[in-house]
Amino acid sequence: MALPFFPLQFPGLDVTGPIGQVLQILLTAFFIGFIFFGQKLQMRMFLMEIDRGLKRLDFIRIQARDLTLKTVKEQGKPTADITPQINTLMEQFIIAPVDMDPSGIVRKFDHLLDVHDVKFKDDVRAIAPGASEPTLNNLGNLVEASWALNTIYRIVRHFYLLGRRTSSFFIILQLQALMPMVMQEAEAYMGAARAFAEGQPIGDGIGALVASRLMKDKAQRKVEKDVIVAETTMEDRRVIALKAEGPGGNVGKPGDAIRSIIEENQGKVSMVVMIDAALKFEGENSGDISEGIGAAIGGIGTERFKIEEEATKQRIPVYAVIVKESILEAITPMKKEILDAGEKVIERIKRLIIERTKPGDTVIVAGIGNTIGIGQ
Amino acid sequence: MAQGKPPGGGSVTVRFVLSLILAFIGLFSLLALLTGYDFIQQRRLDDAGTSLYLSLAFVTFLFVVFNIVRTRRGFSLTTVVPSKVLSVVQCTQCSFKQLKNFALGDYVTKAEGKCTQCGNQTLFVSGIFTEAGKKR
Ligand SMILES: [Zn+2]
Repeated sequence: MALPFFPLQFPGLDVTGPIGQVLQILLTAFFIGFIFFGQKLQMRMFLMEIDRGLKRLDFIRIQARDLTLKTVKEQGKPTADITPQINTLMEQFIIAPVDMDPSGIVRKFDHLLDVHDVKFKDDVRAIAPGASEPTLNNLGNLVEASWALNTIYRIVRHFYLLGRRTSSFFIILQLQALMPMVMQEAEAYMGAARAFAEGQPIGDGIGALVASRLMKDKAQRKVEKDVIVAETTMEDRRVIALKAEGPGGNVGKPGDAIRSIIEENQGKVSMVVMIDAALKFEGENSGDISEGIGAAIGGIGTERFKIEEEATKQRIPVYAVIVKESILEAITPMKKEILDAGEKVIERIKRLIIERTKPGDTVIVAGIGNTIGIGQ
Repeated sequence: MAQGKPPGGGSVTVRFVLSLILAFIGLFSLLALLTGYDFIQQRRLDDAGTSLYLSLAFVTFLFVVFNIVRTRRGFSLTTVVPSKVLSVVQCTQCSFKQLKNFALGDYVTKAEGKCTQCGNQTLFVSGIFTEAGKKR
């Protein structure tokens, strides 16, 4: 068959003829060229991909900054232009303590975070003099989300430019491989910024929400920094529930609070149950509940350290009930599945209490997480 | 994203030229594949020459297809569309329960005043949630 339908029969197009030869040489040249310059070509394409991501990151970061400016202006009623102060806040940093000699590093970290919190709050108060305390906390969270986006952008841009300038295939390769995760995180922070601007509860707040349900309409008092405690009874056990003070965006210092409650009770606490949101693995369902042992609390580790130390000293078992969610769900407005998990968590706590304690015992239930949009 | 169109990134002209070149190479390899097939049919080449010719053409064609697919895919991002946030208003004394749109200033445990069903001042916000964010 000579492919009569295909207009290929123009003169000279056979491999033995001159055009055929040229065709073959071209193809061979392309093939060999690809072997030698393939990597360069691939690098170009990776760079283009990163560039696209970087432009999007820039777009998101500016959007977050504009949202921050707008929200602070609306809710904080500043008297002067706050753009320079916001820009300063966007570039702030913390220098981690030296870890060559790690003994006592937790205390140093704790101190550092305290200083940062006080300074940061004062800075936010300065740009939002008209804001109430909860609003001030929300604005602080908003500025932090915006800061995170700015920092992500700066880091990605740094490695992009470094990779391009040095033509280092491996810097570019790593950046390109990480890009989808970075983008996902950036989108999550943007969602968080929107939630913070409006004061909506986020997925991470499920622990605080459960504690809030336990302590509703009970006598409440404040212990330690920004932590609210209330006593209630559950299955004839004395339950001391605690959470960060809401409804402003706040995580408080549950470590200090748990320690002081244990001390108040002279160590006569039968167990500590911690409720927190935890990152799920891909493929798991959001809002599923898991039970485990140990202090369920995120962050840099200072609070976890305090709880572990006190629990070990007094030989108190620490149980964890976690609600699974993705990083995106943890910092964007709370999803229905996660909210619905609240009731199930309370059932789990009841079961734990019945199984592991006797009537009349004292149990601490700590709702961990950002309490934005969740009062008590 | 709620407002504005995110920039696509990458120089448009460069990408246009690149895709033109890709398309050209693709067509070219397709042509070569057909020519090679024709040669086999006409038994005008020895076997080794034909297979080399064909495999070159085939690899080139695959390369083009692969690149086009890859470029089209880009970052398959899941973009969060800001979805509706709702507040659950409940009564502690009766079974009254209602969903309303989240309003600035709402928070869980906030007192919402008088219950329309039982008349007690026991309405409160019991939960705030968002419906599953749609993914692009
Ligand atoms: Zn009622």
